[in-house]
This record gives sequence, C-alpha cells and structure tokens, in this order.
Amino acid sequence: MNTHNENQQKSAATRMIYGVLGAVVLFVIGTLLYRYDVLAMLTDSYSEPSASQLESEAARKARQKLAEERKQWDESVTAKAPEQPTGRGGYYVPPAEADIPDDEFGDSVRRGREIFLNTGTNAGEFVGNGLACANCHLDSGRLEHAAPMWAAAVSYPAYRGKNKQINTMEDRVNGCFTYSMNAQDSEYGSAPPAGHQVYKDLESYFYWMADGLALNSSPPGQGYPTPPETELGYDWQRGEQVYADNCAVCHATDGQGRKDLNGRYIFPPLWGPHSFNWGAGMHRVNTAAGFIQANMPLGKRFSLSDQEAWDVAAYVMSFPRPADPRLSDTESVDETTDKFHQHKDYHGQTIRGIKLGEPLTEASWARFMEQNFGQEVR
Amino acid sequence: MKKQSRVYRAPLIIALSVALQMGLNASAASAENSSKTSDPLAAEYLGTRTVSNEALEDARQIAVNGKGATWSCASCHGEDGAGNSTAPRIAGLAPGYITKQLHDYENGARKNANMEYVVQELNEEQMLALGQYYGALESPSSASPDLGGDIRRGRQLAQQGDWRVEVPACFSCHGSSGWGVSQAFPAIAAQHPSYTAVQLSNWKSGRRSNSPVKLMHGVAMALSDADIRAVADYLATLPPPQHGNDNRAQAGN
Repeated sequence: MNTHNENQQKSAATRMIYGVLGAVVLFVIGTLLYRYDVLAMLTDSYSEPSASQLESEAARKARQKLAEERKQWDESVTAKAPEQPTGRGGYYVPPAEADIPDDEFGDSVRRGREIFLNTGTNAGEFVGNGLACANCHLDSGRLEHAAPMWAAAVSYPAYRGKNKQINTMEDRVNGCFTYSMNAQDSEYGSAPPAGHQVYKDLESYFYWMADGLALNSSPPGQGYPTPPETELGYDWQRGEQVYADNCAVCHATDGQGRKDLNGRYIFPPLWGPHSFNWGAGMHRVNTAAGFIQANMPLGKRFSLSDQEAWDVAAYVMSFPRPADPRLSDTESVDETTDKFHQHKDYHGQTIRGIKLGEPLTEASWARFMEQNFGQEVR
Repeated sequence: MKKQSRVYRAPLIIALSVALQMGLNASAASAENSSKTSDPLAAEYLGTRTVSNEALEDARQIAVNGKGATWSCASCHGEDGAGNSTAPRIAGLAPGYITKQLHDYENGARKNANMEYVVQELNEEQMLALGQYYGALESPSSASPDLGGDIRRGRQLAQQGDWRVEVPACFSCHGSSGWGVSQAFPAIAAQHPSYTAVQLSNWKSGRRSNSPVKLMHGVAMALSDADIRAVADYLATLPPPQHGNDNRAQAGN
C-alpha cells in the first residue's frame, strides 16, 4: 500500500513538474515567435522596418539613454556623466515634438514653435516681408546643415563681429527680425523691443530643442556648410541657367515666390521688397551657396555641384532687395558698402542698371520688374 | 516593427496589378522627354495660354459626350471630374498641370493605355481648353481612405514631412490645404487613395518620371510602402480644392 501511494505521489509530482516545464517552454517559444515576427512571415505580411522607422527608433533610444544616464548621475555623482544623444548619422538628436512638457514652460515652447513656423501670423507686427524663420531653418529648425536652432542655442552669448559686442540669444534673434525679416517695413517698424514675449517664447523653443547638447560644443551640422571655392569662382550670369533649371518652378522666374489658394506664401520670395534685406546673412554669396547646396531644391539636398551652388547663389543675390537698415546711419550706399559689406556680395555694385543697396521705391521696383521680367509687379 | 495584415494589403495588390497591367499595355516607346516636357516651367507656360469661348464649349462637349468614336472624360473620371477608385479626380487641378499631362501622354513621357489612346483624338487647343474646363470645375469629394494606411502617419508626412529620410511635407509644395500651388503643383487633397498610391509607386520605380526637376522621384524613393498607403489615405480625408471668388488671380501667383 505504502509503496503504491508513494508511487502515485511521485508520479503526480513528476507530472506537475513536466506540466510547468512544458508551460515555460511554450511560453518561450511563443515569445520568440512574437519577437521575430515569425507568424507575420508565415502569413506573408511581414515588412522590413523602413529607413524612417530605423531612424526614429535610433532617435528614441538615444533620448531614452540620455534620460537614464541623467538619472544615474543624479543618484550617484560617480556614475558615468550623460553623453550627448546622437542618431544614426552621428548628428545630435533633438527631443521629439510630442515630448514638449505639459506645463507653463511647454506652453512657451509651443508658442515659440508657432512663431518659428508661421512668423508672419504669430509675430506679424514685426515682420516686414513674406518670410518665416522656418524658410531657412528647415524642419522647424531641427535639420542639420540648415542652421539648426539646437546648435544656435548652445552658441550664445557670444561676441559678434557684425555688431562688435556681446550678443545674447535675444540680441541674435533681434538681428534676425531686423535683417532677415526686414522689420523696418513692418507694422511696428523695427524688431520686437527688448524683453518682448516673442523673444522669450523663441528662446524657450531653442533651449528645449538643445536639451542634451553641451554648451559651446560646435556640434556637427551647425550652420550651413560652405562649398569649397571653385577655380572658376562665382558668376551670377552663369547662375541664371542653374536657376531656370532648378529653382524657377517653385520660386518663379521673377524670384517672387508663389502663394497657395489661401493666399499664403508656399515658396518664399528670394529678392525684391518682400524678401530679406541687404543686412541679412543670406545675402552673402558664400552663405547662400551653402544653404542652397545643402537644402535646395526641397527633397534634393546636396544635388547641385559646388560650381552650380556658387553660381546660382550669385544669381539670386545679384538682384535688388530692401535696403540695409544700417544705411540710415551712414552718408551713402558706398559708405555702407565700405563699412558693412567687405565680404562676398554685390552691395554697392550696379547690375541690370540699378545700384544695389539703394532703397527700393514702388516706382523703381516696378520699373525694374518691367524691364527685366516684362511684367507688372504682382 | 510594423506588421500589416493580409486584409490591408489587398487593395495595394490590386492597385499594383492595375499598374502592372498598364505597364504591359503601354507602348515600349522610350520615356525620353522631349525638350518641351522636361522644361520645369512647361505647366506654367501652358497654364497662362488663353483659349476661345468656342474651344471651351468644345472641351465641355468632349468632357461630357466624348469625341467621335472616343469615349468622354466623364465616362471614367465621373460627370463632375471627382474621379473614383479606378480614375483620379481631375476637377480643380491646375489647368497647366492637366494640359501638360495630356501632352505627356501624347509624347510618351507619361504612360497609361487609356489616356494614350484618347489623347490621339485631341488637338493642342482642345488640350488647353480641357485643362481650363477641369481646372475651373469644383465638385465635392468622392474619395475616402481605403488602403488601410496609418492616417496619423499620413498626416505627419503631409504636414511636416519626415526629414529623417529627407522627405519634405507634401504641403510645402502642394499648398497648405493640399489644393495645389500655381500650375506645376497639382491639388492632392481629396484624391483617390488608389491613384495617389499607384503614382507614388510609379515615381519610386521610375515608371513615371515627368515631374519638374524630378522632385517627386526623390520624395517617393524615400517612402516605404506603408508610408505610401498612409499618405494616400490621409489625403483622401481632405476637402477638395475650392477656388473661392478670385481663383485665377491667386492661382496664377
């Protein structure tokens, strides 16, 4: 009897162990099947992750790693210091838009982003042309080699030769409004006054975007790359054909850009009264050549040769545009040229019968357009 | 990792089969562009040409009743040009764009057996007039998402693009509502998903290559099949182009 009972108990215990083991094995197999998408492969619905998914996964992991390393460093000062998050291409990975915090600071970041994208709508009284920040700082200011704002955010305060003084980020943004946004022709008549909310919100947006980047780190992808100088040099007349072949379909032959049915500029004006003025950095042929080669045409980055980039930049910058605001502090266009335009540009030169840098009037612009593009000003 | 169920794939397979069939039917003529076709401003030139009132009336006849032995535009694209799952919306697309496509079917730069056949019946003025007729036509949307695409992803691609793979936003060229910009960038809002998806696939494969400066080729190359379904479905959720009171003044700009 005893033996029999023992046998029975033993076999019950054995069965239980086998049962548990079996469950574990099944669980592991199931997990593996799921993990490697075997079921999807068997049913022919498996798809390789796309390049975009791989990039976005790498970006997510980089930001997550930063958060973990920060936590460890916070808990123990002897832990490894956090590293800057980088993506598959090696460039800094800014936080995702969805990660803007849900608090007062986040509200400011979101307002800053809206100003950045739709400057004419959200900071309209200080905008004197048809441009927005995001026209030159692509992907909402996030794209490497398109003067990303994360790189700018860790570069100020700094001394700038342009105005020979220490510039805070507010000073720098003031410069953007003064020159690139041509604030002199805006409703307010100049860049936002010191301490204005527009600065606070833009600075919040930039600061948030640079979270994880070291101060003064000159990160790869900052600014615009300058193409190497070519043997032929640059020539605006050679650039005309490059423009016709690559740019005119969007920015129009007359360079005045195009609006959509809602009356919004979709392709910004490149010269003339609705573009940036002679004080904007982009009027320099080298800056424009870099921007264009690295970013234009949209979706075809780095498709133009060095020579094409230099020539087409020269072509665009050989047209009239709003006067340099510093002109009013000087005696003449020539003096402005001497003081502020000792670099690669056409300020002060007479091209197509017009002295570049002279203030544009409605009449002079209309005459210029009629003579050069045979059409009425639109 | 994205997994697509077989059900969601069916419309794509159908769409691709249609594309394949069109490929087999199409003439083997080389797609070498004539100088007219490869001019990036071709649509703009065509869009600014004027046609007589008689030609416009003639175009309306062709659109509604057809010409001689050839069927009407409406028989495939619908009476109001809003299209359906087998033929795209053409109502509200820029006149210059439409006329350029007709030219391209004629000279082999764009392939589609049906369209290559019908354009043989059309002269230059009729192509211009048909562009203007359909460009001015407003009609409600008959499109709806049916490819099982991820609408949120589609919205992201349309509004912001995906710069990680160098895809600009659709709207950065096709207008802030997808209603098109000027003559070269057609309306894409309220387009039928099957059409949008097949065209993107064709640009990706190189079968279609008649976009100015080959802009669409680069974009399509960077899109995965799931992205193509996503964006095609999203665009189908949008309202169709509406000109308002003053369409020509704005559209020509």
